[in-house]
Amino acid sequence: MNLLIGLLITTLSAPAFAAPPASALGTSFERYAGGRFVPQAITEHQGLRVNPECAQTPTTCQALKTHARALQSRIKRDIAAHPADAFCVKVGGSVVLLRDAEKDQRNFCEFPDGSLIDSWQLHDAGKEAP
Amino acid sequence: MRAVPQAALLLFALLTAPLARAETLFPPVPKEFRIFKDKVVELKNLPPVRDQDGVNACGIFSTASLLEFHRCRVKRIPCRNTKVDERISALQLASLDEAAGSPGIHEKVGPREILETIAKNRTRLVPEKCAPFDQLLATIRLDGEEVKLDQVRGMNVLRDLYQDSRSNHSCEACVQKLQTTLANQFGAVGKQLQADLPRLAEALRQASFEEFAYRLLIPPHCLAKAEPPPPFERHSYPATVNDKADKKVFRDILVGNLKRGLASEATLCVQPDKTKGCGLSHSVLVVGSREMCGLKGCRLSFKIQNSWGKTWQEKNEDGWIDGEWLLDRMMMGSVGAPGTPDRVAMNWIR
Repeated sequence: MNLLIGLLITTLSAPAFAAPPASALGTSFERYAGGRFVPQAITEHQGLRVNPECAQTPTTCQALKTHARALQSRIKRDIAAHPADAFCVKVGGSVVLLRDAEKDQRNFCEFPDGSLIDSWQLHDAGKEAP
Repeated sequence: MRAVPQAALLLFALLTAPLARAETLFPPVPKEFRIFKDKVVELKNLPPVRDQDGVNACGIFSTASLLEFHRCRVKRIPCRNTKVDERISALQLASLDEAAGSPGIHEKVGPREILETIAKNRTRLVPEKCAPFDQLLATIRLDGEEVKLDQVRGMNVLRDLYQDSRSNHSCEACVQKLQTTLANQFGAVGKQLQADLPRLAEALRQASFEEFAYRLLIPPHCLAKAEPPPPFERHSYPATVNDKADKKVFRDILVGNLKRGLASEATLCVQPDKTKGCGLSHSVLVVGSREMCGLKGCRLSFKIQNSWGKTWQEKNEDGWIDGEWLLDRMMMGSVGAPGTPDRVAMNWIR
């Protein structure tokens, strides 16, 4: 009987799963620079949020190169106050907080060549959990 | 011939062993459980998601969001319409620990202490534009290491300067040195600060570095203009740090608060430690609950708002995580090191 009730609940509630929320992309991001918030363009390259300059030069852009390296090398992710932030710093980046069109903050990793990638997407590349 | 597949299997097992041992932080409810539509409670009108950067002071961010949610709820204003500059300054909250005896920027201050101070003193809360945390971090970020609030590179520079000024220089010389440092190393924020000579001199007169940082980074004129949050009653569980926590009580309070339209701050353990009890704790807001059922019965799921940015929310089903995991980790988070009192693991206001 319990089995039947469970099956019934499972079947009836299946449509309640919501689709994942869409990401805010485009030029609607802002970053703090020079004492004020300025627009920061972000685009999608093969599912990764990066700055447009990086997407145009994917073979030389440090953000994408680091992502590719993280995919292959299974670098250990540490449990930290902010795991994606800590991983960004670990692979040679520094963190930039961006604000999207909905005013939510997003953590991006910036590399010395100025390229940007979403820190959580970088963190999750070929992820080996701690 | 049979040795090759065996060797391959062994190699595969060795390679995947760390993955098998690894534990996911904030796991979702297992996929075989489906949402039971009638038992979903989800708070609306939440403030935008914050990101605490690498600063090991999550409690000030979750508390800032809790206070913003309370303000929007009581004043019936859309939380998303709050201008970014008008959001509650997380930096100021780090200064609200009455137990410290004097105003100062303290990394260790927790949600309970912050809320207690505000409820008791009707503290005016300065907006982000007055005590800008993001801007400050953007300017004085520590390269190469995870940061703690009082270990941010700029804070170290300031600490050295402060200590130097206490011992070696006349006040005129130390104000000038502080001016130069702010102008050269603190970007636009520093340039604004360095022009305010009386404030610099006042800051340098303080008896401790924490008070110095407070006077320097949280302008008095902002405090004068700021408003206190709408009045609230503060509640904690366990009620004091000496009380034992109970998992069922955690569950009942979280669910009960949500049914009344209240968010709860929850402190949980993200890195269990056999000797310390908990190696690293983290603070989040609990903003939803739902029951999920499957062949093995039903299971509770909580929605949290984390201070790890919007992408974290998106990749974790908008923050819906396994309720059992959260409650277990709150139990771990409420246990202090052996021989020390338990900790308060959740706070809420109404």
